[in-house]
Amino acid sequence: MKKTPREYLDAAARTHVSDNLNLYPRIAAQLEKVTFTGTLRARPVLMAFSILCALTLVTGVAYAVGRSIGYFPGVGIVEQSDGIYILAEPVSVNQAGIMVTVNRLVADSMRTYVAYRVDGIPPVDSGFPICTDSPGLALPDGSLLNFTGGGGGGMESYGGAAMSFESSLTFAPLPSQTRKVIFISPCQMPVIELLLVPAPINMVTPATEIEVTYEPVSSNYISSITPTDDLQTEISTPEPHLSSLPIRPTNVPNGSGLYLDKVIEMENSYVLMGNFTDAGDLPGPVVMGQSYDSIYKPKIENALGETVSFRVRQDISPVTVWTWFYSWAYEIPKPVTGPLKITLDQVNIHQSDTFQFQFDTGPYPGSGEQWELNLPFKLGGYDYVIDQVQMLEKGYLLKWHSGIDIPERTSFSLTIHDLSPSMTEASGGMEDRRPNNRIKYARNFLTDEPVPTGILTLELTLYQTVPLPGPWTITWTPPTP
Amino acid sequence: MDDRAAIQRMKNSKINGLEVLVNHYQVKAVRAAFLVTHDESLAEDIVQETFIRLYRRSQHIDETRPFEPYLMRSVVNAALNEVRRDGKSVSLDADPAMLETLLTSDASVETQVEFAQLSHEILNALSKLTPRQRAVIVQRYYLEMSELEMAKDLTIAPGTIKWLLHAARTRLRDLLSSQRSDQ
Repeated sequence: MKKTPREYLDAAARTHVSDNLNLYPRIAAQLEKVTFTGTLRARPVLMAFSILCALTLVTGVAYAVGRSIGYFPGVGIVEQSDGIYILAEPVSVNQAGIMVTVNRLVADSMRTYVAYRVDGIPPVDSGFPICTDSPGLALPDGSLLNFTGGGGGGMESYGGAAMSFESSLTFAPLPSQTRKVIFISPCQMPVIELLLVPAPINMVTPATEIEVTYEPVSSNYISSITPTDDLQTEISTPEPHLSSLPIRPTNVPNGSGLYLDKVIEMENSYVLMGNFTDAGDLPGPVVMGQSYDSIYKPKIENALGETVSFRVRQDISPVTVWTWFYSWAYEIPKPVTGPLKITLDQVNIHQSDTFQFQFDTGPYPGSGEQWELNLPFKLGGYDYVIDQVQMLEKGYLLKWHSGIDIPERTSFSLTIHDLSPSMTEASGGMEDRRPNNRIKYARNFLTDEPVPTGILTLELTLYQTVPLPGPWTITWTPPTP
Repeated sequence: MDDRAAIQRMKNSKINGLEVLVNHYQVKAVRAAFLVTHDESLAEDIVQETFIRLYRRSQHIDETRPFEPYLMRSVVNAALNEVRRDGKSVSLDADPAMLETLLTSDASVETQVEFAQLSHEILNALSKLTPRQRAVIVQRYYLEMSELEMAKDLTIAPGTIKWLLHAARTRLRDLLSSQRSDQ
C-alpha cells in the first residue's frame, strides 16, 4: 500500500526520536530555574554589553581579529600563524593508461586546498566518460578530512583522443604537526601519499585584514516583511554568508542588498569581500546565476564620482552561489580616493503569476472527453486564451495559446486547487511556436488517486525572469594612510 | 483534558496544563525539529524551550484557535533559527528534487524493509538540503501546511514558496525521465 509523504518523514524521524520520549520532567525543572532574561535584568553591565553587540550588527560594523594573513597565488587568503605547508612537487600515479596527478596542496589553519588532474581518460561514443566520484583526503590514521568546497572542472578532448580532467577541492584544515596526507583518487585509482614541506616565505604576499566599516543603502523593498508575534518572528530574516571560514551566518539588518564582510589590505591594493543577500523582501527570488561570469557586477565610484576599475578576485573568494546569496571579492588598486561607492543597479528576479478558473466536468465524464472553453486571461501582463480541457485516463490535459509577443524562457505549472500534495502535478508540457501568429501550449495534470470530477478549480501558474531595478549601494571608506 | 482546558489551566498558572500539552505533542514536535536540525539533542532542547516560552506567554495564547499548528510553526521556526545560528548544515549538493522524488514515489511500498530503506534515503536526502529547504519540506509534507500558510509563516511571498516547489518539481521530472532512460 502506498504511504503518504508524512508517513515516510515520520518513519525517518522515528529512527532518532522514539515514541517513548518524555520531555516534561526537564521542562518542569527548567521552569524552576533563573532565566537568562532574569540574569540580564539583574546585571546591568551584561545587558549593556548585549545592547552594544546588537548595535554593532545594526550599523553594519564588524571588527577583524588580529590574524597573520597573506595572499597565496591560486589559493587566496591564507592564515600564517600556524605556518603554511605545501606539496614540494606534483605527484602522479598511473594505471591502465590513466594518470592521476596531484599538482598542488596548500594547507593552512583555515583549510587544505588540493588541485589535481586526470589524464588519459579513454573517449566514449556518447555521454560523460569519467566516473563522478570525488577524490578524498585522509590522514595517516585513516580518518577522512571533511570536504568543504570546490569541485567541478573542465574536460579537455581533442579529435577523439584521450581526455583530461582538472579540478581543485578544499577540505578541513589538517591537525597541527601533520606532514603527510593520503589522496584517495577517484574511480578505483591507486591512492597517492603526499608529503608536505613548509612553504617558502616568499610564496606568500603579506596582507592585513582591516576593520570593516561601511554604510549600506538598500532599495525600498524592505517593507514587505510582516512582523509577527514574538514566537514567530525569528525566522523572518535570512542570513548572509560571510566569506571567511568558518561559515558564520549573521543577521541582515538592512534587508536584501550588498553586504561587506571583510577588507584585506595588500601592498598595492585593497580586496573587498562581501555578498549580495536576498532577504526575502523583494517581489521575487533573486536569480543568483551559476558562476562568477553570470553573477552581477557592480560599478564602483570614488569620492569624485569617477569610475574606479576593479578586478574580480575569484581566487580569493571562490565562486559561491547559493539560493539566497552570492559572495564576491573585488580588488581595487591603490591609491583610493575614498569613500568608495559600490552600486548594483539591477538584479533579475523570478516571478510567478497565477490564473485560476473553474470548470465543471459534469458528474460522469469519461476518458477522452473534451471541453472547448475559449477563455481569455492574462498572466504576467500577457494575453492568453484557454482553448480546451481534455480528460485523460489519469487526469486532465489543458491546451491554451498566446500571441507571439511572449518572451522565451517562461514556464508553467498546472494544479488543481485544494487537492492534497500527494496528487502529482503535470509530467509533461509542450510549447509550439510554429503556428501562424500564435504559440500553442499544453500541460497535463496526472494523479494516482481517483481523477477528481465535478466543479474543479484549475490553477495555471506562469514562471518568468524579469529585471528588478535597485540600486543597492554600500559606501566604504578606506583607512587614512 | 483537551487543549483548550489545558491552555486555560496554564493561564491560571497551573503547570499541569502544560504537562497535558507536552505529553500530547512532544513526539511530533521533536520529530519536526529533528527533521530540520538532524540533531536529536538539539531538537529536544528546541521543543523544551518552545514549551517553556509558551507557558510563560500563555496569557497571549488564544485558546479558541487550534493549538497544534501554532506550536508546530513555533518549533520549526526555532529549529531553523538554531541551525542557521550554528551555520553547520549548509550543503553543497543540496538536491530538494531528490527528496521530492522519494516522498512522491509512485511505487507502492510492499514490505517494512523497503519502507525502512526508503525512510533512510529520505533522511539522507534531507540532510543534503539547506535549512530553509528542509523547513519547507517539513512544513509542506510533515506538518501538511498549505502553501499560503507556509508563505505567511516563513514571511516570504507566496510566489517564492510556489517557485521553490516548482523548481523542485521541474528537477524531479528531469530526474525521473533520466532514470527511465537508464533502465
